[in-house]
Amino acid sequence: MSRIVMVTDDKKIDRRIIQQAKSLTDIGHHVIVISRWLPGEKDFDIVDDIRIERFNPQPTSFTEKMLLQFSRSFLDFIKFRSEKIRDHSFDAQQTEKLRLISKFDFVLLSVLPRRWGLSFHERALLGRLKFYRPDYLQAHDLPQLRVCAVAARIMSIPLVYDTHEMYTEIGTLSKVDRFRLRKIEKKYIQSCDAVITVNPYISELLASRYRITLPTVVLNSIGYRPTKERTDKLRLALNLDQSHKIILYQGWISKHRGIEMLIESFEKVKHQAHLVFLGYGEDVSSLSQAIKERGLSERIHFLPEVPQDELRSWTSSADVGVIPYPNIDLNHQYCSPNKLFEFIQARVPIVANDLPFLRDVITHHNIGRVANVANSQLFADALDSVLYQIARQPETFEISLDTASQKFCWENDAIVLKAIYKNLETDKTQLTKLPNA
Amino acid sequence: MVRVFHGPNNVAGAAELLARAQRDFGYDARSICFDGPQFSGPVDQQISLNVRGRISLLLAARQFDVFHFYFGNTLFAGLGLQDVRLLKSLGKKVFMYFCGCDIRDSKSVIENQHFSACANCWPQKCHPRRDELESMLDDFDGVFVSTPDLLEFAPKATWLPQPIDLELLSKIGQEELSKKKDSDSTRRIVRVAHAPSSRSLKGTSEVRQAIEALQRRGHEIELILIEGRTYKDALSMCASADIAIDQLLIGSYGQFSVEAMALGLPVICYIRDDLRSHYPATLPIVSATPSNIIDVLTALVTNPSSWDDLSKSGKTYVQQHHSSEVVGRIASAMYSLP
Repeated sequence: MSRIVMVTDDKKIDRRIIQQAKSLTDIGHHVIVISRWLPGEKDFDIVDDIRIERFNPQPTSFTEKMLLQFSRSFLDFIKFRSEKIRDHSFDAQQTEKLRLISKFDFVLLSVLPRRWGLSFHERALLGRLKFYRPDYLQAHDLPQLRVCAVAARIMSIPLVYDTHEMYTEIGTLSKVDRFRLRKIEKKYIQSCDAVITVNPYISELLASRYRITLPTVVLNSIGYRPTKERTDKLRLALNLDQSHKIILYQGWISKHRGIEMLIESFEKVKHQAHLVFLGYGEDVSSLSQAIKERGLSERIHFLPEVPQDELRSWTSSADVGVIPYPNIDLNHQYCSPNKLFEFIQARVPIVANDLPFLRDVITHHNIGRVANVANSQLFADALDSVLYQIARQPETFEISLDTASQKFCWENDAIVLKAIYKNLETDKTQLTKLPNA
Repeated sequence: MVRVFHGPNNVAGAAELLARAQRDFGYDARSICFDGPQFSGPVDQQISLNVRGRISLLLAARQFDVFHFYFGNTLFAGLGLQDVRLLKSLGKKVFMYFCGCDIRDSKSVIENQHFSACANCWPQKCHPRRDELESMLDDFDGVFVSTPDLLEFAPKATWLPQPIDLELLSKIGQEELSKKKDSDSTRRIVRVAHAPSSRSLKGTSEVRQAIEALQRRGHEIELILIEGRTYKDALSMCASADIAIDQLLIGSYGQFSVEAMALGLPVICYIRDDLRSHYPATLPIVSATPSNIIDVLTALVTNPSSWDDLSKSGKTYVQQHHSSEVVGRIASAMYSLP
């Protein structure tokens, strides 16, 4: 039995990570997940036998502690003096002096204490990784790669890099950030003992970009359910009868997810349908306002997120699932979102933007339609097409969704993940058996 | 006269007890600690864990020849271990008394032991400088461990049994014994004391389940769960019981077992088979694990005639191996070795 430490930047730990950890725990590994600290949540928790630490970085040495204390006191001093400036108690010369002095603090924290090219946060995290003495390290996503690579080298242990998305291609990143992150990924991906990712497109892109062996694909699938769960949770929550069809968007609600285009398309849907957003996000209130102004409040609804273990029963009560992610960057283009697999297992047909992986799954397995979400009429037609098919021949999608649910289920992907660790274990054993030079 | 420093941790009162005992046989021993008298009498000098306290600790330590540290902490008290080499360079002798999580390798324990507290331990309580301490084992003039399971991680260490204040425990034991005799004619319920410092690490849920199982089978038995009490209150509550259960996961008996034996109670505690050879053959503890605690407890509860023997054996065992005087002499003998 080995100890595996998984590191993620998530505040709410992604379902993918918990599933992986659970599958590895089921075959006897001892798994610890280190995630980002979240106020209000326990610093340490146990979920399904998985140990979770929500990492709150602390200085790793006396020097660092003193430096941090000095820096914080210095920042408090600057803040106090800045308040004086706002009260007009200082003249222009003093203001300029303070501005320059405050830059010194940035240098102190960001530049001077670097060792192994790691930031203060990474160094503190490195200390935790060494404390746990793992046999394997798994970095989830690019922000964790550097510190995990350094840790794996120091501890001489295998490193698995699971890239959930094309991080360097996130459209909201500045050019400078993108350049810096690509450099990091290029340098450290070479030292990984295994690279896994979420779909074949990202796998091929990583392989060609960094000249590495094709990363293994472990999909974001969820556990298999043999039958559709018959529930009416959404209708009961919204007081709708069976004549109203429900189009469901679930998950993070953000303008970058094509929500506005979806709303525009929905306006053109001819079928008597309601659009439901089941989730959370910073843009809920602005979207609600926009919907109100368009006079769509009667047909577009927001419901809060539900616990992961209840999600399937809510999803099952929808008629159509929708994935409107726009093609705004390469990361979006090659996405394979969790909700795709959640809809499949809930036996809900899907309408999605025409992106490569979504097209592969939806069109080739006949479980819905893809259309260009930027063209509101086309997308509306796709929604209508699925809604009409459900009304006329519901069994069409039922049969193909049943088939897809057997293919795209975590039970299959867990086998792949376990095989990766089995191979790493075999490699380790062979290395220790090598004769001395 | 040899001047001995005990501190800066007073784990289970060990620093205070050993300093006091060593003074009785001619050492100039003092306990200078951050912890208060939680499990013992007042330490010789209590200091605060702030800048002023740390400075006074360093100043106070200058006069000593031998340093007897506890639980992986030294004069730098959590800020580092560099003082060990500094003290050695000044010609001082430095000893470390490991008490558990300061040297135990939890990963190894979880992998190799069927039952272990480490498997239930979260957040992981291992000493943050555990690896550093392990690398420094040869730097110390001597290493002690409080329980034999720790010898796996410090193979050259000497087992230094947990010291206790026999006088105090005998007194409390006698007081409760006379109370028990007064009420014996009417009382039929068997009282089982369990004092977990941490429920998940001591197997408290299994202890509770065992008590409930015996109750369902018709036994008159109750659990006295001792938590959050002052030391003396906890001892009195324990002494009022008929049987004590220490822990079911670790494999070595802890401080509670020693105290319970000194109070005259039969003790149940998990003793790993591979560790028995480290203990004296007269160890009277009845071993039990989570898988057999119901059977072991049933056997003891239904055989009250055995309690007297176990009680007497326990008291004798503690007098011979755990009195602060005996333990103090073992430590002193190590100080004198080259």
